[in-house]
Amino acid sequence: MHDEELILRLQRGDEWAFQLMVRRFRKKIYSIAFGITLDVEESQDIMQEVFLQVYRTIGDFRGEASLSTWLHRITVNRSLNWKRRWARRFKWLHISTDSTDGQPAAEPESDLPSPEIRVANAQTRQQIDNALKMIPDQARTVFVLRELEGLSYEEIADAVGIKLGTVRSRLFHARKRLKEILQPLVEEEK
Amino acid sequence: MNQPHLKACDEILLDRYLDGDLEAGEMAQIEAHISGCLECRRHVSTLATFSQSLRDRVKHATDSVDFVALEKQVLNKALRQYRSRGSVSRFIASLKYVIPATVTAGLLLFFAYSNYVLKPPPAPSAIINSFTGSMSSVMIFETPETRQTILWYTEETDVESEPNAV
Repeated sequence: MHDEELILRLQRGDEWAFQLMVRRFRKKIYSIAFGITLDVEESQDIMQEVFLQVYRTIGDFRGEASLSTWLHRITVNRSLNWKRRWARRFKWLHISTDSTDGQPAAEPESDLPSPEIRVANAQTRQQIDNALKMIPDQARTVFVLRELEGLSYEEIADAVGIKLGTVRSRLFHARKRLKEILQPLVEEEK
Repeated sequence: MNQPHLKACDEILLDRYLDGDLEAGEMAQIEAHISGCLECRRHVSTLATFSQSLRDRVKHATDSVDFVALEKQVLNKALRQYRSRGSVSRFIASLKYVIPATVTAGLLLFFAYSNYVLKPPPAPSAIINSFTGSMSSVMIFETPETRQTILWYTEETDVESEPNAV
């Protein structure tokens, strides 16, 4: 079913269409939320809030943007709002480094890699999280939309509500900052 | 076609190269530059590796999520919203009939009360404009409910006077 038909059905209050939308976009929304918040629980909450907001306000959707752009926009706003909550911001900045996802690092028994590999993987994830956390929110959001979702500059501009030039400049600053953060790590590994 | 080589490292062009946002000519220029510039090769390699690691990182986080359970939660919450919204709209719809009925009943009560319950005080049966003659022991009473005035007096027995009270 195309997005246009999905929207029409959603506007008629079709429960099945809502379920289809959730199934179609849940991973995408979760990924964006996680890329911005780096928090498993919050990303799950944000994903639910996004879908419920769509459910409540689908009647106001006029189709000026595509459904996915609208969903990206809501997800970005919700994820950035999360960062503004002080208590959670504190948690974000002071989270333990043992568990990178905020969850126990349980792996399937059958595919369990060696302890050395697991430690190395956890360290890599931690390094990625730390590096991302050092990039300002707005620049990180643009970077995440570009690198995770592969959105074009125009799509990012629509989703974040900024100009095309601002997308380019935020992306440039995010990469510049990342290079500064990663360069010493690359030097160490040599 | 020969493209002039970039003389200096251009990070903006390198970014656009990473995003695949270059024209064919620019692409040839930057690729020629990268092949001869260790610093730019490192720049591109570091960022490309990080991007791949980020995708792996998010995939790892996403794989551990129970999306089926989350989907159920979302659907239940949406259904609850729908039901509560339904009951509110039913209540609002019922107001369409309740409000006019209440107003009509109120008007009827108002007219009934003012016409039948609140009777106006009875008009005076007579008005004394003037009084001549001799009298004494004049008393004026008013009945409590009907608010009628009673004049009580003693007429003097004067030959010339006539009873004039009305």
